[in-house]
Amino acid sequence: MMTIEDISFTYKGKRGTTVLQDINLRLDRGFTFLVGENGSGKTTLMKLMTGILDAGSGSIQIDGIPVGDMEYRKRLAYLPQVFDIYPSLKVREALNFIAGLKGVSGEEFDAQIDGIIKLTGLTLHMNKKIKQCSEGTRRRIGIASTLLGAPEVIIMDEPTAGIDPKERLAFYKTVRECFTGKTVLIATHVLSDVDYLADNVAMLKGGRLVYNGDYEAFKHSLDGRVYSLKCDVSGLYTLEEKYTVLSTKKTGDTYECHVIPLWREAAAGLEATEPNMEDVWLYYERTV
Amino acid sequence: MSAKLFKLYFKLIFSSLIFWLYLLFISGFFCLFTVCIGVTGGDYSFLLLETFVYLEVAVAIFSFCLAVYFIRQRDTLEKVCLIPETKCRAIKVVSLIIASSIICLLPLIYCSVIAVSQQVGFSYCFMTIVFYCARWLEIIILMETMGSLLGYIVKSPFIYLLVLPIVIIFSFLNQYFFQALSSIAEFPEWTKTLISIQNMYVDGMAVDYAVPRLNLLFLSKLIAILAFSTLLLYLLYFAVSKKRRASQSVCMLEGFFSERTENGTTYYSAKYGAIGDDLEKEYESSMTFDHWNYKTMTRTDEPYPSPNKVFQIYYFYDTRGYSMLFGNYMMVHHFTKY
Repeated sequence: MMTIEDISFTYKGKRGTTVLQDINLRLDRGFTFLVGENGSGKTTLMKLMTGILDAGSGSIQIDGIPVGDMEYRKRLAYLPQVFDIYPSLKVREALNFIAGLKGVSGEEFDAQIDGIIKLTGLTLHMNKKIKQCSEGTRRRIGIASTLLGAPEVIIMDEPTAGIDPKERLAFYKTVRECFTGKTVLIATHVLSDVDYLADNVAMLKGGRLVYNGDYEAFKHSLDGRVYSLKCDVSGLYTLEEKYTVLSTKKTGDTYECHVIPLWREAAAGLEATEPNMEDVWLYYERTV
Repeated sequence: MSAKLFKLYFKLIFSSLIFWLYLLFISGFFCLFTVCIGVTGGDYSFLLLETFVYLEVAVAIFSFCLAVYFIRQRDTLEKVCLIPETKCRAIKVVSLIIASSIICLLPLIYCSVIAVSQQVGFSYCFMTIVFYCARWLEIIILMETMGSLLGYIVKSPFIYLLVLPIVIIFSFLNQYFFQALSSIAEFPEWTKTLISIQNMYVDGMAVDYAVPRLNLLFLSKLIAILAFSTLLLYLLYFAVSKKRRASQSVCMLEGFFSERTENGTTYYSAKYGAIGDDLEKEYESSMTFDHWNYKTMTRTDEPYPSPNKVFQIYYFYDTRGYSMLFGNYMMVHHFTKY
């Protein structure tokens, strides 16, 4: 279990920018998605969790072990957004080096690497150079690298950025197979990723945690409050006087908008609709 | 962990085509050099060892470029293992220096072969070998720490061209540089020898026999160069640890500016030309419009933060009159439509 308590972070400098404020978060086993728009503080929070940045105040711990401790590092794995490791290395060589640098040794060394190669389906690729591997295979090497050292907590920074939907699904299938039973935190912008795997959601806005909890509850938090209305382009400009405007879809010259009325009477004549993930996301981004 | 990092870097260096090209080029130059000695000198003797200085320029150039290439390799593998970047960079530079020092075998082999063929005394031969190996090593250390630091800080590929002025200044070639400057100012002899890796502090008289000069002057220079390289390595460490605050780009504004400070914000505007305009009114007016997001090149109506410095630029082209924010800096179209 990972706990983050009272974490705030300000970049030093003449005019320090506060990126995170009063973050309290507890990560239990399962998949937690860290969502939020660009600049909301996701990457900074992950850097603090991996020990790349030092928070100064507050505490980050895994099972009571503080960040910065060698034992903490052993229990944590990190997968960066771009997994472009040295292309001249062979897959097996790269995994050997990673295992060695993570402190895996002795009899466990070969057994663990062999097991992970098998689990991630890399058996046929282990003698290939990384530069000869496809993007999908490289992602699997990334997953394999995070599994080495048997960490308890895994942090992934936008792992599906820049890959097509087919590879994305394959990636998450492997993630689900390999990381079940571990504490996994995945930062993403892709809403479909959240829907595919999430047990919990943590949402950052302007450096503050605006939602932290069960994904199903997050998904249904707007049930019964969202209405659908249609208007033309000129109508779009006046909508915000009466509604919080959520997702908008254009069909021909007509716009179909999902809205939440600002007062009860404004809902008169509107048709209630089931909110989608984009609605929930936009609601928390704009109003909370 | 450090031993495993060394192992990784040696593996990467020795399996790299660039490194083998480095060895090949220097060996090639060395062969060319020995042929030239044969043509000009007639025999491959100790008498002509001083002509190594020309070959050492090639060593310096290739060492610098090699360091730039290696320091720029991405370190994702190390990040995955949560190894601090400062440690990775330092070990990478040291590994590269150790691997590159293989080329010290060239003067060693050359001197040994000639010593045998000319029946030179052991101690003299040994001193000569130590002298040239140490000098080549100091060239490698200085050029590779410098290449690593500059290659890390300067992102442009043109950094490779920087090797030319650096090698000119830090080698015996600096005498030509100072000669070119002699019309402006006269530099004393010691300034040339002080910054040259090849010369000693006090240049000895050119005599017609080669002496290894393995003396205190040489050793003090060696220590000074090692100290300077350590300083460069520390600067690299500093740059890596502080990079999150470092700017990735530089914008140069040239001209004559007037300067005024209000509420902690400094405003710069053209000093001459359109000074009749009401700059304060223009600035206030520009705050009522949208501004450009320089990353996406789209207009945004997000609220203006309070910028640290404001540059009011007369006809700020390509922004259609809208302002642009770069962190704490703001560029405002001067002569706007208030």
